[in-house]
Amino acid sequence: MTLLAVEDLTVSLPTRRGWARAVRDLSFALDRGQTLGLVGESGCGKSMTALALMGLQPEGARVAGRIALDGEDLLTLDEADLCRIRGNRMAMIFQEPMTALNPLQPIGRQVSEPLRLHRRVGRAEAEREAVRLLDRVGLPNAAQRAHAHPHMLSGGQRQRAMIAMALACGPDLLIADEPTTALDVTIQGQILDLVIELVDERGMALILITHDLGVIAETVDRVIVMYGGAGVEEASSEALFDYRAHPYSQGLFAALPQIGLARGARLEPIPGTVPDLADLPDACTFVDRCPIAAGACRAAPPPPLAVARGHRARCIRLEEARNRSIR
Amino acid sequence: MSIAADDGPGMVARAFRHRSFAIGAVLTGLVIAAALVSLFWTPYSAIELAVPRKLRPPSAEHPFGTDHFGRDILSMIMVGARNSIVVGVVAVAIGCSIGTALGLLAAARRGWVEELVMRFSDFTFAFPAILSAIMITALLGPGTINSILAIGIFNVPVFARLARGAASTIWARDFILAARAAGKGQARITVEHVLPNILSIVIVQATIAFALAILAEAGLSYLGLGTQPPLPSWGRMLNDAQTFMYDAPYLAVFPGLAIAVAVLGLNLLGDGLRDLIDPRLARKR
Amino acid sequence: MMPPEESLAAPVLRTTGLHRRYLLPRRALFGPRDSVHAVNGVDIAIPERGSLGIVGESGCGKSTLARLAMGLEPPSEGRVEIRGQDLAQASGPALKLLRRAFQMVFQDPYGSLNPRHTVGRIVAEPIDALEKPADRRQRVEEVLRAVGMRPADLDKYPHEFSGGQRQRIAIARALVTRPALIVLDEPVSALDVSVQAQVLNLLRDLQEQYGLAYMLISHDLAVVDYVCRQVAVMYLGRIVEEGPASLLFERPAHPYTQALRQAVPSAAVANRRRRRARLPGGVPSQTRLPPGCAFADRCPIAEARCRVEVPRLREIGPGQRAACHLA
Repeated sequence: MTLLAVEDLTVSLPTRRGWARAVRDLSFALDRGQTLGLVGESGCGKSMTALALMGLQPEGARVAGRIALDGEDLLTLDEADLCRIRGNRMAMIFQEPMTALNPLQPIGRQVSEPLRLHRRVGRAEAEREAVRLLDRVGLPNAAQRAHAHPHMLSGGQRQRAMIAMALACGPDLLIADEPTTALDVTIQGQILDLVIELVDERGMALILITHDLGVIAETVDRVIVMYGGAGVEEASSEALFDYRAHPYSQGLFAALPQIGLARGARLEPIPGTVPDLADLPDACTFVDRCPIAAGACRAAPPPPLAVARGHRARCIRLEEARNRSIR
Repeated sequence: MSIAADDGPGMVARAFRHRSFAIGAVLTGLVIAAALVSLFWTPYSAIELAVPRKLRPPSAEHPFGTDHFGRDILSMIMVGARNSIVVGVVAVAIGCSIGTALGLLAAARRGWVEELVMRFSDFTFAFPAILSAIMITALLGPGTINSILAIGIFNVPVFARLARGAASTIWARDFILAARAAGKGQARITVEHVLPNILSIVIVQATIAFALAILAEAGLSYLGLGTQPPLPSWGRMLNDAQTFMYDAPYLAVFPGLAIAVAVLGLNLLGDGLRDLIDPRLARKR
Repeated sequence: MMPPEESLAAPVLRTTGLHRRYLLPRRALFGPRDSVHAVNGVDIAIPERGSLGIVGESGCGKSTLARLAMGLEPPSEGRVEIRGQDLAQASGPALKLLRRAFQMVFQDPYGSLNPRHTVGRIVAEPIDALEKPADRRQRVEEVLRAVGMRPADLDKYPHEFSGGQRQRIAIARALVTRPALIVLDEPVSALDVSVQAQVLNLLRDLQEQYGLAYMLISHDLAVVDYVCRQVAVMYLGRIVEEGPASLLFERPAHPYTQALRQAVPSAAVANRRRRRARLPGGVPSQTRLPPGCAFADRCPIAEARCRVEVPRLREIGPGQRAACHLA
């Protein structure tokens, strides 16, 4: 059975100008051992998707659709049942470990917290397990460092502690929201390697949320490109990095400077700015910035169309997009 | 993020939907109106004695009654409001201007200047304000001007601390760095960038300091150190009322009520302003 | 590092033996005061119309170097020269005249514009401070147009603009004195990819159009590669390698540059199984610098000599210099 099946997930946020759909009709499925990347720019809905999966969407938000974990629809559960699942079967790593960790508690205590909460393990036993976990995530001198407070660790070490905390109960699904964005590039490499190793070792499923296409390329098997709350393109990483079908994905790659590639050439920016969610039309979300938009694009949200096997894009002008990318 | 959001239209409309701001504005308006009207007209003279009418309880003729010299209490409260407002405005103006200037200076210069300003304000804070005010008026002699000075001086460190704290956070912002990179000096940066960005906080503090000054003036007058007879003052009216506490309790009730209305009104106004000016709170509403 | 034909004229920016130390608060009442060596002996020269990118991870001193170059902080040792004039010696009217020659753009487009000032006032700030020209409004309109904004935006406030537009405003402010050099401190790192490309192209165009020299500080190697011809890599307050971007990124000589180059995930092809050699550990403390090479503790090829003797920058190829005994 699929571990996680998300169907038509829609998250609406109340704004002064009415409801803004931060996530629109997002569907995907994920098995144990699989890795999925959600990539997009700010406001594309990638982080909101993660929060909705965890049942942590902001107060007042409306979540519709279906989020099935091993067949159980999480949207029908009450808060108490969600608490049983959060930190236990699904765990999350955040971008900024300094704000996600409690500054007043030693990290060993924080890592042992989920065990005591979900597994009813005694304090001494839980703290011994915490040291084992901290050691596993590569914190040097784990037994001593377990008594350290978060501010005594470096950014990379704090992120390791966050990962240990997420791993404590052996979750089936790990959600990592920009886990390396706050870190230096040499440390980013270490952390990504660790996440991949742990996913392979424990057979977890991973959802990695990032704006960095390079991180996507080197970390996950499948990718969903998001824009304006919609998943505009979904493919295996190999397929996507080989050929982009959606005009937005094409634009995103054309705008990305890469060492050695762009020195002589010129980047092709996407005109306009990343839009406000409340301003997006009830049609293709990219239509206002799309170089090949037609009248029909404004009529209705485009359905996901097959590009190749396992490769879909929400665009009704895939042919034009293909010609454009060849030119 | 953007502090300028409060400059947008709809500020006034939003202000009056804010309950404590609206109530505060009405109460404060009442006190100001009483003071303004008293400049041209009072039901009776607030100064001339009319002993035959002394100690009359509230009636149609004298809504708030008369005191032991037969003066109309309502008239005295109206004139007293004028007095309270003058003392409050001038004292706060002194404290606010000197204090804010010192705070801005401390934040701009840092180093020993900042040390000096802060230690000075610590020193002043170490004495309870009302005691020091008593000391100053006792030293310089009682009277309106001296009580204004005393209250004003003890507002200086309050504003100095507030302004320094707020200004220091502004100095840490990138647009200050940009102004320095553009070639502007400390004085110009303080006037053009720092002051406008801390002004709202200072204004809020000023309304609250205004309420405290009215209270302090009443306290000093109650002790006989503030406004001198024959000019009526809320604090001295309370003092006088003490003697007749059992015969004419209304003598204490009405000036007490006037002080309460003024202080409550200004405090609510200050709270409301603080909420309205804070853009993060404004956006939620 | 200067092309021969320009070496006769004074470079627009030259630093010699630049040091910057910050004293830390005493730990004990009469204890010694530790200091942080943010910049530790840096010599750079940027010719007219040249472009130097400074890369490095957090704490390498690159932002401090930018502030020293701008005269926003005094150096602890060494000198900063603008067009051959010592910045520390200039004062009063001479400094005002000199200031027109070099301007700066900051990282955070939200924090670097005063929210209470109009765009017109923000952009005019440097000429108001330095020149008070009669054609103030024309000059402001001209630079606004140069960065792709409309003169009608003059009376608006920063919060009415998106991040990319705000950064254009910040660039217009730097341009308005008709400078010879603009110091750019992480100018696009707060922007989304699609918008980042717009600003990067603008920077390239403006350099061409106005004959500007750039000093670009960035943690993103690809951004530096796109905008700059020359690159310097910093580690713990020192330049460890410098040279033309093409050489330095294709054939990095210093082990740190190699590791940095390696650590950048590539978006060229997806390859989840690609594993690379990673640098161990993190950037060490800047308080107590090791006696030899600052990188020795993390260096995969360090020898005994590296821990004793500080390596000097030396020519290792045409225009390429590295501070490594073994390069």
